[in-house]
Amino acid sequence: MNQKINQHIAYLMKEKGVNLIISQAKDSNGFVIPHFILSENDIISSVIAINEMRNFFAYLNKQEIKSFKSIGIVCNYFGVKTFFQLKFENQLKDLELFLLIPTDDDFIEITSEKQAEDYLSGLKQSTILVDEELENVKKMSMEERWNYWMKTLELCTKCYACRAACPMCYCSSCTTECNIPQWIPVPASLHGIFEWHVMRAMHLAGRCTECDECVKVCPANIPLNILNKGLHNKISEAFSSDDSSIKYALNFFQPDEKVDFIK
Amino acid sequence: MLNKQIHYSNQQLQSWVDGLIYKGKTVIGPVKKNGVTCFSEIKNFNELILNERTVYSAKEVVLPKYDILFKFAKEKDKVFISKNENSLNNVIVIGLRPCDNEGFDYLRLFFKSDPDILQKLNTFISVTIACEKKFDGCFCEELGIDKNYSNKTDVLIKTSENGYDIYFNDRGNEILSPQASDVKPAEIKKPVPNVSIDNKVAYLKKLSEQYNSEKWKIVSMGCLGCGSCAFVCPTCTCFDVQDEGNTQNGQRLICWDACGMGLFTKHASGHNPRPSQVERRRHRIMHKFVYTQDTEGKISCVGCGRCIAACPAHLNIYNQALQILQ
Ligand code: SF4
Ligand code: SF4
Ligand code: SF4
Ligand code: SF4
Repeated sequence: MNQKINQHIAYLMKEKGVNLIISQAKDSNGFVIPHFILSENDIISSVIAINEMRNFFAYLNKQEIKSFKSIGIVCNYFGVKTFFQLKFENQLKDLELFLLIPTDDDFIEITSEKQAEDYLSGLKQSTILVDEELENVKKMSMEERWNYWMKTLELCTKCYACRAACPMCYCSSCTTECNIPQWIPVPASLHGIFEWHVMRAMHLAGRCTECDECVKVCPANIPLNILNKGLHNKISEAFSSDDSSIKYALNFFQPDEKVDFIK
Repeated sequence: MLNKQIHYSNQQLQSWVDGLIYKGKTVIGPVKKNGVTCFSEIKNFNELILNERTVYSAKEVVLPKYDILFKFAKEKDKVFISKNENSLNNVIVIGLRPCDNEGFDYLRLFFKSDPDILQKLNTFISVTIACEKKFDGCFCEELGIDKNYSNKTDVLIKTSENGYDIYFNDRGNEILSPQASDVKPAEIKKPVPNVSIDNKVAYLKKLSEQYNSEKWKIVSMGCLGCGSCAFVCPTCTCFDVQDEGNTQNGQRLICWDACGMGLFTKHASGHNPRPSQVERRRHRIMHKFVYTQDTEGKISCVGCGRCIAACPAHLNIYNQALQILQ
């Protein structure tokens, strides 16, 4: 990372009791990987463009990482969005976090929900690429759409890398692991794959931060972002006209609601 | 033994493969599906992708991501069981790499007492392409595997001036059916027995002395606990047995499973002997480099680098083993 961030990392470790920084680096094959800084000796200067950066908030779901308690995390816009959403869902209770967002030759530090909200409201990230692909899918007839998904999903092996790398998939026990009853068939057959992805998309609806980690880690190249974005749009239409006011559609329940599926 | 050789031009290679398909052989090779290079049946030579390493290894030809073991059906008070017979008769797998063959060689050892899988492994005819250069993350040579040669195949294709030198054994002869006048005795560079590899293997075995090393905590930090590394690996063999169906009929399946996942070792009581990624990552590294030295007489990583490319954190299994040993 740039010199200013690195100086600040050294400061956080020396003066603020931060004992782990989850930074980012490039390996010899050019992959962007997490770089764990456990002491000042681990600090390296590395250049990663802000839009190439990944979202490593999923590491905060690991008990071994959580036990560091006071953690710095180098991220971009999507990291801040994830932080905000996780705070909202009460997930970062016992952690003291320092978000470090690189800028040209400086950085921004975020430690509170309020700062995150201010940062996010000042920015609008464009997701034009996904929007285009999503539009293409929406233009398809139902039969074409079905074939499109069958063809792309066919390669899924149920390795669950998408789940493991997703910061919002933090459940300690996933629906896929429930076997009494067996909601989701275990084999990576079309049936099993299809139900897994429908379930996954539903559970992330309105919560997904569109960081695309799931897409980046999928060995089978499955365009999960189309599902994510499609569901996001549906949630926006159904629950709010104003994007920023949707925080958790699955929590959006009023006692006097007349719904026929809750009896 | 690859004891004969012929020469093919680009055109001849293509007509040979298309001819096999025309004659009704099932030809499986590396193709692109939704941008992912993987082994699948081809209907035409031009579908083949011969200049990339596949994302998923060739093991899925023999061990697909899920497979039916048998089906059962109840009629009145009788139960009928029908075994799934899918042999690989008539199948030719083309575009294997030397690491894929080493992988199959390990699978033959591992499944030595499973006649069904062993039969599959020994039935299909293998056509290998020598690697001229390494792909990102490959380290087969570090483990004593010659990327330019394989004697564990029926046909070996090496690029030569204006085409290909093709080496083959008797099984290869059957599918090549060359004109006698084109065939020469094979003149092939046999790999020199590599002494240093014995030292390397012995060195890797020292990992067992590091079982309680504090460094496992460091090397496992990046591991998120998914199945990617196991699912792309040519030598990962673990599977889960699942029954699907109802009281009248159904089927028993084997499905890929992975030691990186927490559920893999979770007992019905809730106890988990490998409670975190520290133990799970250690198990994977130890299994590849130490445990199979005891059980099968060899290390079971063939250095194909597929797990490094597929891992969300791109953890390098070999460098991590060396890091522990340092
Ligand atoms: S979508 Fe991709 S990452 Fe997710 S389970 Fe399927 S193959 Fe694995
Ligand atoms: S884009 Fe994918 S990884 Fe990121 S929050 Fe959404 S579902 Fe999770
Ligand atoms: S452990 Fe990794 S490098 Fe070794 S054989 Fe398996 S996929 Fe290839
Ligand atoms: S090493 Fe990588 S691919 Fe393997 S379980 Fe861990 S995160 Fe997944």
